[in-house]
Amino acid sequence: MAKREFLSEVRSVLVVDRDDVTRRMLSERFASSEVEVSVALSADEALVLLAGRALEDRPFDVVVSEVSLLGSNGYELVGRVRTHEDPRVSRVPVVFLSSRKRPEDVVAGFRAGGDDFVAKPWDFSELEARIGALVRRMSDDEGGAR
Amino acid sequence: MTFYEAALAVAVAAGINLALIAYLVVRRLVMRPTPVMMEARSEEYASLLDVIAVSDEPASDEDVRALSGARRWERDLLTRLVTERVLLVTGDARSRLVDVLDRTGVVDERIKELEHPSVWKRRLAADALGRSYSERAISPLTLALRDTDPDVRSIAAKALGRFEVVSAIPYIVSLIRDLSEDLCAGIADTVIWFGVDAVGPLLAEIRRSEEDSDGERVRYWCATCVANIGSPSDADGDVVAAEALKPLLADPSDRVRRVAALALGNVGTARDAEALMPLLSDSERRVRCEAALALGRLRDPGTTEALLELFKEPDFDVSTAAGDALAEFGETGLELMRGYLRSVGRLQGAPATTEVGA
Repeated sequence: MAKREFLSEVRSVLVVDRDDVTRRMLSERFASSEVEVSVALSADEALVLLAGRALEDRPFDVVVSEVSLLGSNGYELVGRVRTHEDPRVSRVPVVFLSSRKRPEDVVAGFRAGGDDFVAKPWDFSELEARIGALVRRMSDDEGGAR
Repeated sequence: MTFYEAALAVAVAAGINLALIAYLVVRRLVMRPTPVMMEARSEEYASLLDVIAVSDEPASDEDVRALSGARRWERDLLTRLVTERVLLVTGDARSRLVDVLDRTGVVDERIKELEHPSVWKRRLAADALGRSYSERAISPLTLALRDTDPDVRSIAAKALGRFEVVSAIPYIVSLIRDLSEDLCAGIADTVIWFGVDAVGPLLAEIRRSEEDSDGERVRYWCATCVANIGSPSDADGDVVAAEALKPLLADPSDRVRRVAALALGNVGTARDAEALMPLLSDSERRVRCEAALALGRLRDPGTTEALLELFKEPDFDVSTAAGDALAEFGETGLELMRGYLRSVGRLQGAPATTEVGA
């Protein structure tokens, strides 16, 4: 299957969610659009993957994370990402995909350093459009900085 | 008994035992899956459903055949796996998953079971249909609101709440009449879920209950729903709702008076404050508290003196509620409380902006 419209510039995604069904569905969707997918259940696991990929000089294009994670939460994950010493980790865009969708949860997500917030249940097209826009903006910024 | 007769009896008994064991083994293999079988089938179905959900096309006939399990446990498994996914996604992905459940015949099977003589089957069927999100389930579930079993009626109402079928609201509200108290709480949750569309049917049910000698439960639960839903969508609706609630303020039941005060405070305006005033001297302290808080929300300046009198009550909860209500009036209410506290020596030389709290 060819790349979907909004994912044309997305090469890799890290999905962080403790729910098996969410991980499976997102993985299937991204993989069917030729996007490389990795999954993690906790913030610790996600950080190991993020740092590992940065060391290999092929950082993730975007992180899609639930707010409620095993042993921690998505806000903490973003906080640790944003303060990471490696800029290839600290600059990765983070989209929250969460069943916690009260206005205060959304505000807390942005305050922690998240770049976007999508509520569950989600629509695949909307999620992809948001991810695509974020990744495009990031690559534009990097192009401009060079 | 001859030797041959004894041998024959032993052989017959052994044969019966063997047949029984064989039956149990077959039943185990065919009817009841082993954990390994269940896990394998679960993985097979889940993988296929994930592909269908994220695809840009509806499920193929081949996919549907692969998901059409002949055994009951397979169909139950499919329902569970689809429900798990349907709750996570919207749009085309949800439609494709619901379509699979329809095309595999699971929805038809559950619809038939709504007429099964067994109450348990009907309850399970109503619950499964609500989780199927198939629009074909709406009509049978609406009929199930008149089932002879109260649990089936209650489950059907909750199922219709998931579909947000506005036309079913009057039926769902009317269930409060004949269900037990614990089931009413579930129905109330469903009705509240519908929001302002439910206010009209709730008010009609309140009016109807006034002619009913056993209508206390209906008035209490309907007013609870109105209180939680809040204001109707337009000014005319506000007036209608407030006028329908006012007779409940004089209800013999203290819980009806209390929840009516709460509801009027949520849907009414300052012109409805007058109707709440008698409740400030109600014999029940919780009614006085709720009336005070409602007056605070309505903010009619003419009620501040009465609230100040309530603020002087020795009952801590009532006094606190009156204080909270006065605080809603801003500086006017705060100054009234300060004046009183100074007069009784409980506040000395406080600056004008000091908050008067607990």
